[in-house]
Amino acid sequence: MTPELAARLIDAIGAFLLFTMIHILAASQLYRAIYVVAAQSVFIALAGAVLGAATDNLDLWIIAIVTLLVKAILLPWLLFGVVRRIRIHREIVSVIPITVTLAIAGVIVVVAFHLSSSLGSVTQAITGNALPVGISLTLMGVLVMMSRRTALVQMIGLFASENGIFFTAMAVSQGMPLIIEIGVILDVILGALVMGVLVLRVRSSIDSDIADLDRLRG
Amino acid sequence: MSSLLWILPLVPTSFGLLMLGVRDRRWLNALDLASNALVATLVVALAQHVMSAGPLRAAGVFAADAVTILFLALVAFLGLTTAIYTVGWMRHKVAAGEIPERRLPVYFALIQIFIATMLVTVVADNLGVLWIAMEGTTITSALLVGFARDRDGLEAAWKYIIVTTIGISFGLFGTVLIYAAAAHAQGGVPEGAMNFTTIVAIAPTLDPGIVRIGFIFALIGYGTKAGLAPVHMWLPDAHSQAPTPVSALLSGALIKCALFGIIRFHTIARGACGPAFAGDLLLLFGLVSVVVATPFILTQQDVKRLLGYHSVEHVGIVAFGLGIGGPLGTYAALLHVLNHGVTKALVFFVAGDAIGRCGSRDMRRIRGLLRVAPFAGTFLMLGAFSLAGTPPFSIFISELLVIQAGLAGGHTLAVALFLAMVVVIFAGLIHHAGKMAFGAPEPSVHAGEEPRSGLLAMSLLAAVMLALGLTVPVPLHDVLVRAAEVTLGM
Amino acid sequence: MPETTPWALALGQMALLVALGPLVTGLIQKLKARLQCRSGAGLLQPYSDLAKLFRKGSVRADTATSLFGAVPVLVLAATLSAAALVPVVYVAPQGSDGAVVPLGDAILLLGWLALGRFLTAAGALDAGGAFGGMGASREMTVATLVEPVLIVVAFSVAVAAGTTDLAGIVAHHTQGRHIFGAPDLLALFAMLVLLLAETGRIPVDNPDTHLELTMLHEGMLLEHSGPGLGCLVLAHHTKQIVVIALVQALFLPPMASSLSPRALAVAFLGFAGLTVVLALFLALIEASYAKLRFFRLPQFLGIGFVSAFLAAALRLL
Repeated sequence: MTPELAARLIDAIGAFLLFTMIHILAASQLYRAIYVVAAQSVFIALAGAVLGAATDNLDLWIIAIVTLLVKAILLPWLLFGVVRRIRIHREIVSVIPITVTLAIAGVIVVVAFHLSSSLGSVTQAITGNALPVGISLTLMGVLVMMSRRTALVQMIGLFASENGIFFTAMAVSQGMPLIIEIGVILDVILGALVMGVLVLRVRSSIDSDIADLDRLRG
Repeated sequence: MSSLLWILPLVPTSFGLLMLGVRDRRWLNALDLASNALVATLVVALAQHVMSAGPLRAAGVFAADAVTILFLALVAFLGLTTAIYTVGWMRHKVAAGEIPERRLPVYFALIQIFIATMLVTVVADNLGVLWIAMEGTTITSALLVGFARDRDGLEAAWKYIIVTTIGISFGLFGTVLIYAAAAHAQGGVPEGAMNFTTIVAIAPTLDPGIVRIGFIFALIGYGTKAGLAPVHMWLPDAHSQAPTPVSALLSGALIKCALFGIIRFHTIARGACGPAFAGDLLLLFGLVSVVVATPFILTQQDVKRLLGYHSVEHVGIVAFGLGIGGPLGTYAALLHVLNHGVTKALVFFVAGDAIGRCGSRDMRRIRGLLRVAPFAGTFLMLGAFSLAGTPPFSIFISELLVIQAGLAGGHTLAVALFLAMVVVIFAGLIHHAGKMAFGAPEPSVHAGEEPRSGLLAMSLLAAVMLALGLTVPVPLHDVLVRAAEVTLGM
Repeated sequence: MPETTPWALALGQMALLVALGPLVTGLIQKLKARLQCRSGAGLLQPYSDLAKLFRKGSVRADTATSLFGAVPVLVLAATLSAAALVPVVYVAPQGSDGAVVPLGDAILLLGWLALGRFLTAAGALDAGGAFGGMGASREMTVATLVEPVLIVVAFSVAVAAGTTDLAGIVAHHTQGRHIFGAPDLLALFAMLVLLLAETGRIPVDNPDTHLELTMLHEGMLLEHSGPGLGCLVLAHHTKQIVVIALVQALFLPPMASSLSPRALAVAFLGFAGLTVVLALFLALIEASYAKLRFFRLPQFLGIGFVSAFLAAALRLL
């Protein structure tokens, strides 16, 4: 695979990633958000595979496969399991209106481009537009986590943000060392498990969503 | 000897896994004590080696220099005293039926793994491993914070895990940027570009722009975990809702480990961008933390929340000291890490006792502690005076050094503001503590026997607190000086 | 081959689009029926419906003015003008440097479509009925969300081509100077979202319904009858195929390089193929989703808006 082709493919994958991120931001139903984040993880795995093929880096292939298995299959399956067990309605409640969220997303993308232009010296030509896309994904994931009052959507925002960080790492340095990547994914799994446990604990004792509790103040 | 670095976190991990199979409370306590004692011994051995023979390195993943030793000592000491305190505390909790016996193994195992992750954080040389361990501490401590399964505890646990995970994602982002800068400076070779020791060595060649942005993200990330304002909101909730031994570990040890991460990135940023950039940021956020925490301390009613906000303030003081920089400021900040950790644990233990005795966290309901539990009451007053920064206790010394360094560095306005806040907090804290210790106890509170283990733990902490207030012993002084040098990149 | 002039080219392509418009609608209906496991009406049903409408007499409300009678013709005229601007199978080069004969501006095309929409709404309001007023207000709300996005999409493609003229954009694509990258993908996504809005299909509007609360476009047509209604329905079919052809022209134009019958046939097959694909897309969406509640439309269209915005940002930054 020529570097040029790889750059174009990664560009295209970046567009898909941004589109899925917009869907997560605009999602009003939990199921849809879970499907979209799974699709996003598939695209991330694809990007890793493309870069691995272009640079003959076996580590990237391994990371791609692990990402596919864990973030595109295992974690969504986990989330579906939690959703099935909680009885609350599956609409996503947000602190700010979704249209405002989308507007902020637009601002984030502009900021990300500005930021990446000042980071320009470390970008590799092979990854094209990946750096601003990665930064915007990370920041938009954080936006989802901060602006939603549904626990599972906050988790989805976390996964999306981590996708963004991985994409950024790919953009600047062919991904992080394999062990670190595996460790990060492991952390994400464990974090997701603990969050799932907390959500289910709340469900069993209180009839509301855990992210909606706000008695602790001052 | 470098294999000690591997063995150190493995000890609590294996003890923790072992504990999962043990049912008897006394055996669990014994294992707890043994594990922490072993860790303490190993830390002492490690300390001796590092101070005499220089920094240790293992497999490109772990390393131990003077800064590591300082933090290891803190974690080990607090782990040990917490284990001692837990003996009596757990007996009380089980007798009162608040913690079912079948959940005990899980609790103890989680504590051990929590301590293990903290140890890994501090001995990590690889920035990625540092991050992974930091996230590991979040995961284990979130389960511990929500252990009581009551509504407030779960809310606190959720806020804790979400806010810190958001923050720490920024930290990962910053790590990636620094990694990229280092790999780039090495000519595109990523070997060792994630290791702190390597990065510091090539720090002057790093692109300052990238390091600046990376440092900002890392500061946001690890600062969230440390409880720096304005991302400190989770801290009062989590530290107040957690079980008392866990609160002590969180406030005393965990936020210090996050500060360790900040210190590492600070050293890198100093090397690449010069001392002004990172120092100014730390100074600013430290001061903001102190200022933000003050009104909440004054108006607080929940005793553990009060202590949580107080931790925010003291983390701010450490950042303030680091920001002032220079040998004196850094020395003061590092000393404060130790002092605050010890003192905060002591006061948390006392508070835990008082809450257990009076049945409520509300400070208006806790009265007359001196009459009901004389030893605990005494420790409360001692601890409160120490936290507020009174001589002859340790915090006074470190705060004084910070002020000295600040004045010497010319930050008079900042120091003046800092002093004002400290005075206000002093007044507030003594007021609260006095109301709790003196006066007539509520009729429902009975003068029960004070658990000896709890008193032992508190005495140990108080002794260290007093000792460090009177003088800094020579070995510790050497460690601090060396650690300050390492932090300043000299 | 007789020498082609711009007029002939434009009129020829317009006639093609008008003729094929109802067929596309019939195709979508058929596909949707098949997906819903029923046999559905025949492919040529829309033609029969149009013929029926033109044969019938018309009834007009008492409160309607002469504008009401003029509206169907005007709307059809506007839509046909838009149809004339879209390149379908052939773009004529002029001169030796390969510059193309300007067919029409993308912005002008969007303007014709907007004019058509405005006139329909005006006619609906003119009739004074409740359904007309409601449909008109809703349609205009959707228009405020959709039209700026269309322009942004057109701009993001035009920036790459250097001109907003549709012929120029098409030539830029076919002459291989264009690299289909991330901005184009995002613009395509936005365009697909807008396709649903412009053609008045689920989840924006339900074209099959005449229930009070679920009509947007149909509400505006309710008061018309006979030939007037026939004109408006024909205009609706034409608008649908114009937007489909616009999507193709902006992103994947199947153009003939010369006027030879073979090249034209190949280009026409390409056009037909892409149209079938888009029709299938529309049918799938229609069969899979329910119509969105009206106040949720901004969120849905917001996806398109942000995509278009991102496309423009990626293009410019």
